[in-house]
Amino acid sequence: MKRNLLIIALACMLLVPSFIFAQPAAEASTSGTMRLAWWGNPTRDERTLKAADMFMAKYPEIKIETETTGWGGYWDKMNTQAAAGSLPDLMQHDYAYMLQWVSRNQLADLTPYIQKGIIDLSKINDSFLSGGRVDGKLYGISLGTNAVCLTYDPAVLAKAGIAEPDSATWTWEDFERIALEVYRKTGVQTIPFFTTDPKVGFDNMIRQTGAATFGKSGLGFTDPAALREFYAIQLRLLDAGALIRPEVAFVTVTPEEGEFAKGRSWVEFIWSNQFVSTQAAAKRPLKLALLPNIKNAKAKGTFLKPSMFFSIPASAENPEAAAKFLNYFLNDISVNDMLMGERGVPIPDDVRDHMSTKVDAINKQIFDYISLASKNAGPIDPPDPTASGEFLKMVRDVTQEILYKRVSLDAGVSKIMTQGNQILK
Amino acid sequence: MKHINRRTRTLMEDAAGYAFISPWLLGFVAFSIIPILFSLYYSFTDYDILGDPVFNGLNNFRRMAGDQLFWQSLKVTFFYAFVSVPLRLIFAFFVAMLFNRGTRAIRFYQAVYYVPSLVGGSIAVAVMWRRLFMADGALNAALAKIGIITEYSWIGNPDTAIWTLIVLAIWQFGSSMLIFLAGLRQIPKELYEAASIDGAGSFRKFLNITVPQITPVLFFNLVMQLINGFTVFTQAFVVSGGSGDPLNSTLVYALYLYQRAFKFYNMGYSSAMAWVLVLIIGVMTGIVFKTSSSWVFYEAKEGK
Amino acid sequence: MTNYKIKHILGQTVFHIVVILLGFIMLYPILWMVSNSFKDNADIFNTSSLIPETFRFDNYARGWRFNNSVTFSTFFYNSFYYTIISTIGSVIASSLVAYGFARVPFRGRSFWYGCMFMTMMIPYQVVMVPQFIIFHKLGWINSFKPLIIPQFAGLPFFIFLMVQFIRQIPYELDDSAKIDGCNRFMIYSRILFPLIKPAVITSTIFSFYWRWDDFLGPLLFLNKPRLFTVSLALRMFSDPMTSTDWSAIFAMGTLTLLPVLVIFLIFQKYIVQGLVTTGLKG
Repeated sequence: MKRNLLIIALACMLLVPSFIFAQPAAEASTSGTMRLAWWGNPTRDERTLKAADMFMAKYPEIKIETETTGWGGYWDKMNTQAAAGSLPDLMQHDYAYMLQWVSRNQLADLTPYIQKGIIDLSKINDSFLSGGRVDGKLYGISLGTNAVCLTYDPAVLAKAGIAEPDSATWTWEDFERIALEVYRKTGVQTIPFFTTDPKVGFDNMIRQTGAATFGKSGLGFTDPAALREFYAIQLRLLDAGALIRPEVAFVTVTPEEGEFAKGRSWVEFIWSNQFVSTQAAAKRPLKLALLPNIKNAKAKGTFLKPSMFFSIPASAENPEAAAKFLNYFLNDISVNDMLMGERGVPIPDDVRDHMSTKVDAINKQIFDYISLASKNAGPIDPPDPTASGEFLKMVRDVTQEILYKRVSLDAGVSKIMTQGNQILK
Repeated sequence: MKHINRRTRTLMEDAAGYAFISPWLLGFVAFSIIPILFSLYYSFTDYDILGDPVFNGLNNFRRMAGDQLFWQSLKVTFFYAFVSVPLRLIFAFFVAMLFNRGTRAIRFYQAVYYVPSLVGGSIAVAVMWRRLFMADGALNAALAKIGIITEYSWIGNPDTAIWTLIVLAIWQFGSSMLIFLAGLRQIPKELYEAASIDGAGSFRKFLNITVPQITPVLFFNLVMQLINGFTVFTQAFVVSGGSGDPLNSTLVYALYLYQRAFKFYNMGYSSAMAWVLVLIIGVMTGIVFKTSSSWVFYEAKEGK
Repeated sequence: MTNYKIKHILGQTVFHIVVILLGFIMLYPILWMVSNSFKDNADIFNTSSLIPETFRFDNYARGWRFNNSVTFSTFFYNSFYYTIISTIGSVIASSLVAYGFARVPFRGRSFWYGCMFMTMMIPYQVVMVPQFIIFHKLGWINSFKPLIIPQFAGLPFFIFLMVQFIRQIPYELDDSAKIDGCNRFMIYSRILFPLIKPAVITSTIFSFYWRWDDFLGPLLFLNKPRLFTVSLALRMFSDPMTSTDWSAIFAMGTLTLLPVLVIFLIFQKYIVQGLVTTGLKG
């Protein structure tokens, strides 16, 4: 009886793969059809769909099929499609996953399409392109520029009688002094720095020392002083009662429910393209500033980062059509008039200049900040290494341990150093 | 002659049995066996989804032993399962008993109590649940009304955060309640009538009729909830935003497994974790199945 | 006697008060969502009041229009289509399979029963990639096939549930039907299927709700917005980088609750009726 079962089971196993894998995967690709995928929201979806329609009206020989989902789910879907070899022809990509995809040969080098003249980069300053470059090859073109920033509530500073900082020159000492004074005079606290991704915060400080967070194998810095200071400032503020308690700050919330939106913090640490939602949630005038400088800064901490890319997967069936659409999306003034900088500040000079006269007041603030940041920015570091996901998780865990006071400052910092080197090796 | 007869009969039984289970068997072979075998293979490989799996023997399992987060997630999951499953079942059974009547009002109540189970993993629950247990949330507001003033963040504190998930599990007790109700409905009324004639009180009727008659359904609920409890994902994902915050106190096993697979691109390690989970749940349900013959009451005894 | 009556009324009152109070707590989050669906976006996180100051029905209109090229009319149609067909398929198949497992003593029964349990214990995230590859090779992506066809194999959860119910039914019924000349299929369809009605209806409710609510399946297998289901569309409202239209989310969230609630109310009556209609007397 047992044997019969075994035979049946084996027969099933032998039978099934043959019928499944016998089917050829390739369905005849109608030349002229391309698949376009992005993550977004109804507003972005509407504008991107319109852009596709405008493109198809201009180039009727190409048909675009669109695929879209919210951010939650997009990477599950793309990873799965990558495993099955069914990626679209053009996909929206993110800096954090770029290197992972490039090192697994999933993305195509765009240089041939530039050489063929399909993609025109003549109006684009090279510093906007370096984020998409790995080992001299271009794997993604930025759809908008982003920079890390700090947004604050000028009304609170005015109430406390504190002058607004000169954001290009202020230091973390200034920041700490302002935070304490604001708390003493108004009771408004300071939010812990970059609760969703603390690395963004200390990365800025480490870059100012002339090093980088990630090295070739392991961490890119050996002196933990900057890292230590990142936590030491927060602990000093916490002990003075000026920092929002970690129990409150580390609860995942929507921007609308956040402590900054509720007016309990005078400051919030964000990426510049989050400013629209932060502003909408806070419902009061806000200003943008560069992150403070460390003492004896040797380099610029801030850098311009692509908010998102368009990349062509290596397995694309119709890469030329994808490249054509990418070029249109990037450079065409009329389509950008409709897109309204929804994906971030556009990178071609003419498009950006044209747009800056058109956008609303909030987006104007972002445009101005990006031009301030570009004057105070250093070059972007290479894309995050493949183990970065695990590293960021560890950093966030230790950050919580330090601020929840489960481990001492020194123990926490040395944990990041040793575990970081282990994970990244 | 008799011998052959029995043989053809067993053959007929086999044919009938396989015919009846054929829909499932076909689906299992076509859609489950291959993915399962693949995941078993992955568990012995280094596989990052984007590239090809590379065989690495028992490495994943060895690595697990030294992985603090693995042990943490195991701890969280065991606590969650062992606390939430009994509480949920007790609550579901209690409410089902209460609602086991057919009046209009009761039917309305049933619907009301079932509604929370319908919202599942929706965004609304995610947002709502956090707002209940935040430092300035509804729970603390309610406590303030009865004179307990606290700024305690139930959801931000590593000691209590897991309880917000347990309360969520209890709140969504509707499915177990529905199955208990269906079970209660299947108890023949004649049994109660006969017991009443014998002069049994309601407590004795409950003990001697309801409890034994409901054991098959209780058994079902227990097994299913155990499996659900150990594989819980959506609730933890939704409430902690997929992070397992604070201090990994809500990092349930399936959530960590998901992070490993799709955030850290360790599909191989993640598959290995899945098989460890299968083993754990297998042992748990195995224990329940083995002991079931002594406490589950079937009208129709096997082996007829 | 009057004493008993007073006690009875008192008991009933206490019962209803407790049930209603508890019911309010149970319902509070849903009431909160419904109330938010009428609020202005700016008021949602400001006021904890359940009663909106203004009733803004345009949240519903805005949510329904979605991205102006595909609307919720399409999403609802798709959801109903795939939910109803899958539910019918999974419930009928599950009852067939359950009968086989519970009543037919065939060889290999416990092995396959064990296999069925194993499929429930493996987290979906792990088999998701290989399963996607299979459906991709079959050319089923961008159709409802990968969502519907596997349902016709029956669901382990339902199969197990029905097995538990069938085991409670006395064998004598099968035997007497056999004597009357029924074959196995007739015993299943005429005797047992009606007897496990509470389990069948319970499964129907669950199946409807699960299919309706399923997010991951539609996410992976449906790429074209025209094929999207409501649960998938609902998740597309949120993007961490831009401001979220919460009123529209809550408005559509409220609407997506309605069909499952209606299904529950329709079928609930039949669960409650239970054995009364099945004719199993004496």
